[in-house]
Amino acid sequence: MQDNETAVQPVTQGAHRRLFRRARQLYEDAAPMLIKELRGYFRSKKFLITLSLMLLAYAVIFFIAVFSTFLSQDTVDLARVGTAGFEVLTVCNMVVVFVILPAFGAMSIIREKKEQTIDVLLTTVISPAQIVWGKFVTILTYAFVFFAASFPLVVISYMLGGITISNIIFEYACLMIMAVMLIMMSICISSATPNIVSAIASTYIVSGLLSILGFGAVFGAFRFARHGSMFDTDVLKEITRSFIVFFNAAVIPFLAYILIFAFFFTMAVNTLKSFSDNKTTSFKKLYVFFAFVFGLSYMVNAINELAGVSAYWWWYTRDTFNLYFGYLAAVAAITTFFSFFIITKEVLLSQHMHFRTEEIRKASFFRYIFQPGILPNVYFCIMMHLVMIAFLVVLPISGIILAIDHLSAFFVTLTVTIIAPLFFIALYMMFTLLLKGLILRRILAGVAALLIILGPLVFAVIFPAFTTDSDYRRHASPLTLYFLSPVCNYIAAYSRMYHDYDIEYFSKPVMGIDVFILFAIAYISAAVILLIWNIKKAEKLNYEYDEYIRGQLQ
Amino acid sequence: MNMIEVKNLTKDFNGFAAVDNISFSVEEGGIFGFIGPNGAGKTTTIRMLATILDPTSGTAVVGGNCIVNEPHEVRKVLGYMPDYYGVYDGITVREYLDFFCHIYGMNSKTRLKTINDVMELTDLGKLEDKLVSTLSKGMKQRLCLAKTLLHDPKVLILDEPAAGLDPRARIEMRYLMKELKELGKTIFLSSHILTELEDICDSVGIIEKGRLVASGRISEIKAQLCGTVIYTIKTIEDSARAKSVIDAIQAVASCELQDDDGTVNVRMKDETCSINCVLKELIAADINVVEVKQVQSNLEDIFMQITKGEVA
Repeated sequence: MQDNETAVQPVTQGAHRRLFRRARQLYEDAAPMLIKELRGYFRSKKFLITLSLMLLAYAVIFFIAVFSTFLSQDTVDLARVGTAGFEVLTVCNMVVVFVILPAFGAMSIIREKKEQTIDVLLTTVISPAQIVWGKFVTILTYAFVFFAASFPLVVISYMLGGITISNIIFEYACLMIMAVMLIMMSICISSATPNIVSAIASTYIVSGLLSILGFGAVFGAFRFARHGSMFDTDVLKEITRSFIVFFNAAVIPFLAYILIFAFFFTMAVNTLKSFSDNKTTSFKKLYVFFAFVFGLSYMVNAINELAGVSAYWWWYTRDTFNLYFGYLAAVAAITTFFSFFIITKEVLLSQHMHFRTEEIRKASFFRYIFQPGILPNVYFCIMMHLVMIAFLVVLPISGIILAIDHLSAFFVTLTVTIIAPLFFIALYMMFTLLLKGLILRRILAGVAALLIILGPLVFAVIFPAFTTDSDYRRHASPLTLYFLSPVCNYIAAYSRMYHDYDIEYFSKPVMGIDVFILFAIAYISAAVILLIWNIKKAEKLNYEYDEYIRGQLQ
Repeated sequence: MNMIEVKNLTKDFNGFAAVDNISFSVEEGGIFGFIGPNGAGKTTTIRMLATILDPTSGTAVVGGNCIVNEPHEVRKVLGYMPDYYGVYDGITVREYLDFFCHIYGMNSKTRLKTINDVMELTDLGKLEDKLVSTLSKGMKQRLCLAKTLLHDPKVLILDEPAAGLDPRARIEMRYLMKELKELGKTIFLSSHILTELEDICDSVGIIEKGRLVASGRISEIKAQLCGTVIYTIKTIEDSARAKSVIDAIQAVASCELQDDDGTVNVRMKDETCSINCVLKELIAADINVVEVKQVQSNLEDIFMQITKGEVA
């Protein structure tokens, strides 16, 4: 877990040995913190009380569920009784995952800060990454203990029947995956917040949001995949389709989990580091890879839609799955954006670490970010989109009725204004990050800045233009589907599942023409102003920066 | 050789200069006392030296490593004890030390030996199975000091190590400091108890409002401040005549009658001026001198003279 972990391994060393060494290293990194925390916690009264109350609650809930199912039957079906018991245990374990474990995570670093023991730790040779990793493994161990404590009741369920070993393994695997995410998220919040109350509150707010928006989706996708639909023989006949389903149901959620974990881990570690520590992490390649995979997932779905016929299949045969994928898309979009944000920041910082004094470093850092603007553009864009969201108040004119009758309209508007620009910002950051040549970077950054500003407008233009009643076009234009299909899938699935009617969700423009014209004027003006400002600012600051570097070299 | 070298160190918190361009050095094997009123910037300086805070500008070298560019290397040679710190619940003294040994990558055999040695040095042996949370303040201070010694650091940075201790614990802590000095450690400590610092420190730095107002050996600072030596001369009678005689001597900067008991305070022009010439003149004038004493200004006097009690 040390940052400088790229030790060269002998070529002759077997892969299994390297794997073993790496696993051992991971344990060694966590060991000091793990041993200390376990000693402290397992000796405490708090642990005894928590575990006892939890077991008592499990037992009461389990037996109520089992007996109520038993008594409700005319003819005794033990399999149903066993299933009911197992389901209620899963819910109880989810309460542990969503309520108890985040609390441990939220307290982990903030308690060290409060007691100022974190200062003592940070002046030793332990790295922030080791601290975060140690805390994480410790709380994961608590999770194991809690799950293991519920296991005897699971065995009773199994003996009653109705569930299989694979059911049990699968449910526990899902719970552990959820636990991994939530623990890391709560540790991240704990390291970034100033006091215990805000740590706990923020953790529950974020875990609540994520459980609704993201984790539930991924959890559901796994569950769905397991129930076999994606391996259905009919589906397998359509190789492309089955690939897409598999890709979306299994590959993307899995990668999403790793990415979310890496994201929170990096954030937590960087928060604990002082400026003089190298803030770059070893997750950069991982971020780029996942950003690529998420981009690919959109491509795959867009191609699928562009193929025309598959669109029909996609919309109407995978309702449940689409529901999860819709959630997932939002998570993917947001994490991709933040991943790029982190990479950009890290690269900027690492490029300027050679400057010795803070003053020079700070000056050069700000000069650098005022290159054909990274941050100004982003801030501007965010502001513009806040304005756009404010414009949604205009929805009484063209939106609220649509939002009620056509729920999709609301979500599409939201996507057009938030998610799509996020992608453009990510794209923009990538340009500024990857291109070394100043001139080329300026041009491409300028283009990307235009895309950020004009992108949503392009959507807004194309979107109503294709909203005719023709059989295929009414679903949406191919370009909008490129970005919007997951969300639309969600809308479609949601409306059919819960309202039992089919919405012609793209049959009307989202915005009235008046709102659209306002947006158009606002966006074009903003784009022009931003570009002029950028060019002027960049010219001035680049000149100063070049002069400064020249001075340094002399 | 200097073990700590601070150059133009500055820490600015949103325009508020907590530490303002300070420079000083601490020799290898020396004890450096860092003193100043509350809010003067002592702890901020110490936190920068301990690599917890980043300087806004300037730098410092600790044990040959730069705190800005090589913080990880600094941490290897540094033992840091903060002014306030909590302890971990539910673990014993030995387990607490074991945790930090583990962090420093020691194997179980080395850990055992190191912990035993350190507990012996800090006299914690009897408490090894006591829960850390049940220790008294003095014992916790000892434990934290023991923790800082585990990896045998060259430099110890101790923020108020004697704060809140009872007189006995304070005296014991002072002996411990001297013992550590004999072991070759360079000690940088801050404290409000100036009499104790004077007893153990080779040199001091006085900080006020974020600026270093004096630094160096205590004797040098005294000389800087007073510039002269002061004597009290007690006569049996006729102190007014004694004063007039002394006033006429060229080597004397000033002479004041202290009180009615015949004592006069004599301030020499510089350190090289001997009191002999004064005594000769008094004897020649037939004035009976019964006591001559050099006035020793202590660290407290110096501190009060230099600082104005203002915070940064």
